[in-house]
Amino acid sequence: MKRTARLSLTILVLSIACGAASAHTANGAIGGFTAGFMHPILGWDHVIAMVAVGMWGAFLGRPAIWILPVVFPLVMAVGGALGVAGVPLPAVETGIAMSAIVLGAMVALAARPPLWVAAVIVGTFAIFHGHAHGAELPEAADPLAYSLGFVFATGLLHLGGIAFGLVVKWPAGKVAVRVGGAAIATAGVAFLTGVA
Amino acid sequence: MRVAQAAAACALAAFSQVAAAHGSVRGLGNFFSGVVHPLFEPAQLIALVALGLLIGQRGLASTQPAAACFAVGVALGLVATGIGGVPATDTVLLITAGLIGFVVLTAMPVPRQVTVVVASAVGLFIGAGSAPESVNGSARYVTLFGSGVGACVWLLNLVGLVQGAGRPWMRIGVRVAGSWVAACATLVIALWIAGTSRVPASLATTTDPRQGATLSNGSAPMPKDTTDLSVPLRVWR
Repeated sequence: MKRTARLSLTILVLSIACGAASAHTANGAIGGFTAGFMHPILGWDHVIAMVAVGMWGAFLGRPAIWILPVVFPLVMAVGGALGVAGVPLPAVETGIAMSAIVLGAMVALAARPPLWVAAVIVGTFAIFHGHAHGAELPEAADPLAYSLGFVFATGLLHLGGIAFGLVVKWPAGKVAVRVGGAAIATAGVAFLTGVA
Repeated sequence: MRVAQAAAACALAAFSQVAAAHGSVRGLGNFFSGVVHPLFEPAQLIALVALGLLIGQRGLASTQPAAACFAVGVALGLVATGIGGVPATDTVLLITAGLIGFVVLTAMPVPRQVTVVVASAVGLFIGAGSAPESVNGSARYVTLFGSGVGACVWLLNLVGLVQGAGRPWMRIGVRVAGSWVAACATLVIALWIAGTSRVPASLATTTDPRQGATLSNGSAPMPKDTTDLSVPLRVWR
């Protein structure tokens, strides 16, 4: 218990302490990776939704703790492929904002649907996030490095959410995670209404 | 103690600087430039990672023949590229890596022979795609030899790492890594498929038509690299 707490705290602190990389300055593979890595991190609407996925996974426990963060990038890649191909997807930004609202609400309400339902919810919203990333992909200096960067960043954001979500093992931690979920849902409303 | 080690590793990863790829390679000499070559070729790197995950996940029984066949494949590919006239292999590597990533993710049982054939193919494509640019004479062969050694060394390191990951959460980490590989490969393959109609328009202009616009996340678009088109062009082939 103590080890898990210390590890979670370490990961969380290091995630917060990371300095911003110098995006948009280098070319080629390094520049592509950096641009891709920064793309999800620079957008708060992306960040909170991905953290919410990790938190919800941690809240649901095994195997959701790793299945949800695996489903997200895979389906996101499909959404990205649609974006790359120029297939129009209606209301992408609305879908991204709704992802924060729904996923945050799931955490806040401590919802425990069957795993496949949770995976479908997460996967549905991943398409919107992927489409937004994919639309930028052809403009990247190195598309492969860009995609590596943003998948990597997405995974780390999930990991941050999981690290935070692991505190549900304690009664106070459960309250903290649910409050975090409510905050994410509120932020989602702000994005949806244009306040943020 | 292990928490401290994990914290130290995380701290080093978090605070490390971006590597200066090309500068380092310049100072390395021909052999070691070849050794690090697979690390700086994204398609080769992702294929190596995918194969390392696959072989490591399957265990020691499949590792020895697969690793040996990988080395043979690399050697054949290097001979082919030394002779010249080898087509670009990045797309094939990416498709293979995507499939391998999916197999790793699902932990799907795969016959040992299939693992061996896949390892041989990946080795062949990596070897064939390792032709050094603007290096001639004996230096070219030294660099090619270094690329072969590097590909085998990096693969074996990764296989050893994955095989040593015995704890349940480590095995899950391997499957998560497989999903990342599959996701990256899916995206770039989609880009490659869509590229036939989008590349000429994108590369024909030296100015970004979206210049001054903002991306969906509010950040400025990355300036298009107009000096080194070799990397994106390699993906399109």
